[in-house]
Amino acid sequence: VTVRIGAPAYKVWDPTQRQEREPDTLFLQDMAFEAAEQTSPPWEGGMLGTNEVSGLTIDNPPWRGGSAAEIVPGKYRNGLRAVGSRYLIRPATGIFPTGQWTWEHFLSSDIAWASLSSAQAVGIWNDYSQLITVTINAGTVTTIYRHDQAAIPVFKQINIASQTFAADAWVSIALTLAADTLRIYVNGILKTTTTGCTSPRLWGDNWNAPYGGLYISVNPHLAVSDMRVSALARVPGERPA
Amino acid sequence: MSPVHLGIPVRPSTLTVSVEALTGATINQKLRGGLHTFGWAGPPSATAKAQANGLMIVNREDKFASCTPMKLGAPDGSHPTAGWSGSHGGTAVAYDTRVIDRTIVDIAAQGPGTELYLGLDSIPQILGGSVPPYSGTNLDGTNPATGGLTSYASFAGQVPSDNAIFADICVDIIDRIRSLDLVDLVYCGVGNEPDGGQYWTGGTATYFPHYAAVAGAVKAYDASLKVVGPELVNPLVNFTAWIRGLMVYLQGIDREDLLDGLSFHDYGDNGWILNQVCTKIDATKTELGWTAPLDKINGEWDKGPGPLPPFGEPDTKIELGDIAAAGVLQELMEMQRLGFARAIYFKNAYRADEPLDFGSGTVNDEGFWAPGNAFGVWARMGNASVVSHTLSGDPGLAAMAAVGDDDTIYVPISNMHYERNRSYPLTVALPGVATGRESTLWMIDRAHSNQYEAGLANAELQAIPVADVAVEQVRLTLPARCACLLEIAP
Repeated sequence: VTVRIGAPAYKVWDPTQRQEREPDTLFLQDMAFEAAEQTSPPWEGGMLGTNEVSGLTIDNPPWRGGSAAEIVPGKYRNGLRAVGSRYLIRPATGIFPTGQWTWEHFLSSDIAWASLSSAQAVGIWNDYSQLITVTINAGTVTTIYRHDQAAIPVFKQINIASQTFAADAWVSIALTLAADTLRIYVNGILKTTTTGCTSPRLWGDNWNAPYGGLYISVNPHLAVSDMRVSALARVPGERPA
Repeated sequence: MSPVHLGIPVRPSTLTVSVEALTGATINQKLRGGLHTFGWAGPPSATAKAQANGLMIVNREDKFASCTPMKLGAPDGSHPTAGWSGSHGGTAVAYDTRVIDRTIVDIAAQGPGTELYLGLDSIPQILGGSVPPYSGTNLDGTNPATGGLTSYASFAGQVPSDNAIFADICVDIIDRIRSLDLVDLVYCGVGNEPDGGQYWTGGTATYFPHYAAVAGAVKAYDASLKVVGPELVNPLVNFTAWIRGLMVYLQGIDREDLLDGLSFHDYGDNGWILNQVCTKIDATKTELGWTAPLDKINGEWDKGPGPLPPFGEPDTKIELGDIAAAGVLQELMEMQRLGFARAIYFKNAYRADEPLDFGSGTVNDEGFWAPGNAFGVWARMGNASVVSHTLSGDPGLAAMAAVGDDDTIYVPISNMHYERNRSYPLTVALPGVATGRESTLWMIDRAHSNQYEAGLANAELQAIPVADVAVEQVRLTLPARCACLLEIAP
């Protein structure tokens, strides 16, 4: 049994630094502390394996000793890397808020970012009509923010060009939403500010589509570590209220 | 063994309930609807049916037209009953009504006041349907596999050779059902999942005039009956073609009056699909200048199986347990908020010997499954008045509040969090509510009200200890994956 006692307070936010569990933390990808995510069966909270080719969830899930994704060294903690067309998902209901949030992770590619082709890194996928995804294509970081739970459907595609990082470099990517404004930071630097990103009433899962949920590392070139979802929108250099 | 997250601070959530601020809405108990007389692959056992009686008070049933032996023209020895339409300027069709009668008796046995949500679908063989009417032991009701009920018949998804005759047959069926005086009939749905290809082979071009013919005949028979459609299986993808398309079609023939509500099926949802579709309905009404009210009908819904893996894994029937119950209660609350008129839960009661992968239902021989107890939570609230409430905090929590005529306060709460190894604090703030009022917490989680995970002795809805109201609040610590009802006595 791993027991941690203590009440870490909110820290001043620097997205390039190691993040800890704070009072508003809804998800923290920590393969050491959250070993249950990898080793437990789904009914105990373990992650699910999926296979983009077969569309089946039950594809070598880690709790059965399979290899839908591999655990790899991450920026600060161990991370995940998809294996072939296989990757891991987990239900997103309950860990993705509306109104405001912070979603951050570190990303590393085993080839130069300029050579990546439509490589999806992470995502919240409910349906083609409701998703947030981060994809790297030829050095451009593309974020799609989309839902139809508004009188005028929201569909934002935000491209950040010239992100030509070298192979094996760890890059911090952080998204924050507050006041219908989506901000994207790369290595702690604000790259884009997009207004009009109203929130849906609910983010969720797709209980009938075996590929709905929170995606962590969808592409075999990309490793993802230290993902954290927070209920409050953070601002670099500031402590959440 | 799983890690223990002691000492990790969790941002507290608060539900603030204003017990004096009535919203004007009452708890809609007609959201407790089920499909196919509490069975699927075959009739549930008498024990399971007895357990289920009273749990679901609306029953969607269909396939009357294709199961019933009928002939065009006057009655004969095999078709002794003349239809209503033939005597009222419509098509003369004669019937053997035993299947209709038996199915309605079966539905009525679920309890007094049971409402039938009638599916007008499945085309009779005399109009080109591929499925022959019941005969032999299906007709006399002695076939144990079907019980002689329409529920267990195959579906005939062909386009009828004559819409007007099919519409008259529908009216004759309605008239027969009404003559039995056993069930309430409020809603008639035209078709079943016509966008899926399996239950309607004709697409929108044939469905729209078909809908208008059937709805027109029903309205001519009794304008107070509500006719709804198009009963879509994929309302997200097919909204524009089928729902907006039907509205445009009816406006084009100047018959908005033929559409009392929009029905669709909602699988795999935690409320976001409902919200998308309802948003689109409102936007389309505005766009088209549609002024008549349109009821919202969730014609089929369930919880499970995914994203939790169900396929071929006997130890992964997780949909039977706590997460399914949490999902049921959360979606009931969401449908209440969105103003749904009816909702039909799929996979209802099952025999104890049914394969477990059909078990995401409400009842088996041993009593209620966890989702059944979630409906039991809803039933406990009766027709209480919804009061103003605000939930702030965790996105995995859903809650609302209502007050009964006797001043009992009801607070249903769902926790959809997936991880089991955390707990979730929720303060229910009750401004103006006196200290000391007795609280009861009805709990469905892994250990309570959950026969799949906690054993057969835990089939019934169970209460767990909770502090009474203190300083205008009740503090709860919720487990992951739970559905519960905080009940505060007058």
